Amino acid sequence: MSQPSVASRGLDLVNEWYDRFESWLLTDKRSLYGASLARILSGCSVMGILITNFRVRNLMFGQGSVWNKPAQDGNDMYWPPRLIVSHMGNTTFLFYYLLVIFVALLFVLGWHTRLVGALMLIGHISIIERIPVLGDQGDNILRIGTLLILFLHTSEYWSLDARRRARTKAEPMGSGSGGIIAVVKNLYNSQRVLPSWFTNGLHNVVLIALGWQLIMIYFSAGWFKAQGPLWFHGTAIYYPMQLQEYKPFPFLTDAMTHFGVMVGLGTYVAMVVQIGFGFALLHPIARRIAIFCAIMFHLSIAVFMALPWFSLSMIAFDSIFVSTTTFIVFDRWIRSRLRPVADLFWDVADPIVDRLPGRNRQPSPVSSAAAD
Amino acid sequence: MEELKPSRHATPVPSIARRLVVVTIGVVFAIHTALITIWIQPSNPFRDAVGQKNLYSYINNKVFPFEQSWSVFAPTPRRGGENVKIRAYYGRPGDPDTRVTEWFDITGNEDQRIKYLVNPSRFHSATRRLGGNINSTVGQFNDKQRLIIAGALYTSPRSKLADLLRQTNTRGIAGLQAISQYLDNDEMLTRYGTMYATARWGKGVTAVEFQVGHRSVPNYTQRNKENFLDVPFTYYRVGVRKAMPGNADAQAAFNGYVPKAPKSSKDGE
Repeated sequence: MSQPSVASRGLDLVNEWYDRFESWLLTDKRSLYGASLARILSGCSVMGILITNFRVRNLMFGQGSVWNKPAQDGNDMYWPPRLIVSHMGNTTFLFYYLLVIFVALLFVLGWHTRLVGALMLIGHISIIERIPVLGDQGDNILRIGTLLILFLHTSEYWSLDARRRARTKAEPMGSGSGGIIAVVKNLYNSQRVLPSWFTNGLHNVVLIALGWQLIMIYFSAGWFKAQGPLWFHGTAIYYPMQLQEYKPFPFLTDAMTHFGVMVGLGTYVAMVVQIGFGFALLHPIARRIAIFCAIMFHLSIAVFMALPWFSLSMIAFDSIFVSTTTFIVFDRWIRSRLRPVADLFWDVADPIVDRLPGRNRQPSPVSSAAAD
Repeated sequence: MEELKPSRHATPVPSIARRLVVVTIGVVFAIHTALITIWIQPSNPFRDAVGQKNLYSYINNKVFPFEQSWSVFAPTPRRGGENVKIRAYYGRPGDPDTRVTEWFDITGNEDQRIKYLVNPSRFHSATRRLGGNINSTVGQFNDKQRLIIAGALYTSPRSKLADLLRQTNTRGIAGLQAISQYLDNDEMLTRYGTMYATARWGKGVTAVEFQVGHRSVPNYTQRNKENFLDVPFTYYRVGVRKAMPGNADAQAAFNGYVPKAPKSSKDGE
């Protein structure tokens, strides 16, 4: 019996990889834990930015922001949302601002995630884009990443939607007015409305787009750095860290920059991690190391350079690269630690929620089983 | 390690027609992703192939722009600090009866607000940002243009400043871009300064004047000998500008933020 040719084996390999990719893309939603964590952390970033600027909200985004009028006039992008705030007085703007914070909180909690997510994004843009002169890249990645995760299924875990979904059953969606009512009910109960083959494909395609966006951010940031002599010679991070806006804790920064080895290590690690991030994702062990380094990198930026919300946004979206296995281990660990707190919360919240008018609560399978 | 179970969304591989729908979605996102990739990388042949104008109009579309730049601190990291000082005029500048306040260091006040804060508001970097923008454009100006911006602009309209700067431009389109950026930042600083001065020294501000300073971080080799904060600023004057007040709500916002000048100090004179 003759051996298969090299070309034949090559084709078999391509065929096998194609089948695996097709199966990955079409048969299930991937990285559901990562998407859920991305929802929580990106919502926290939105809340964090707004709460941080609460005391200066009128100066940055409200009527007081008229000082950056030339920049506002030059920023003709985001035409629908940016007009929402422009005519609000200080009092109206206060209520609007609080409303957007509240919507971001609902997004973190996963309450009607898709609708609330879209509202949060519009609200966030309408506020943040009032101050283009003080904008930064953290705004950009938060805006772009949040748009992309609206296409992902982010309410599968750690959300009120998941809880509601577990308590209710999907209504059969026929034709006519009954069908429309069933669709609305299913939407409200976070039950499936669109076919899984479609939502699986959409979720996974956008997951790839978000992943690639992040890989390109890291790669280009590292690539630009590699062109600079100060990065090349390992002294680059010393310079911005001396500026007061990036030096919240002078003693910490001075302690670090005092030792040249620390400066060199920080400079080279930042550059290497950024350039190598995408390549490291190809190997399971290298991927874990790269994600760990990226998280440490962003935590360092948050503390040493006072950029917490940019860092949190990046960590949020990076979480899609963490494997489901890791999340399951993490989920079990945190659930065991937080069980008493969660039980207490639901013991208090459930009786209140059940008394709400129009509440037609169905027993969850877990409680039914316990009753039996 | 236990094997992962399929989620509740698991389906068999769909039919070819359905796969085509997903492929179409994939193609749309692939094109989007390719354009983003080309945009955020350093200048490259792919960008030329797509066309700079086409790429710009996609990335900076008016509905949902994908604008982003990741050359932060690279290739050359930021290594300079900025400072803005202000004084206000009550009355016509140059008249003997006109009250002129002492200089006040706005950026110094911002520095005090951000120290030991891991989550400072970006507003506390406002004058630092405006000063930096002005520094970077003035650095491109010739001596005549620097003299012009140091001059007073009280009776003439702001368009006069623009005309004078353009007439003395010697750097073609790049020079015109720098002038445009300067004018925007000059106006922003004037607006900011007017409301700031009103909040600090009281109503009736007719004009404001600025000093914009710059200093560089000492070289790495000197890091344990020289302190950046001890490096003196090199200032230049942005001349007197006619006040540009905001409405009552805008002024109220500044009133709640700006520290009032002590009545007994020279600062308020």
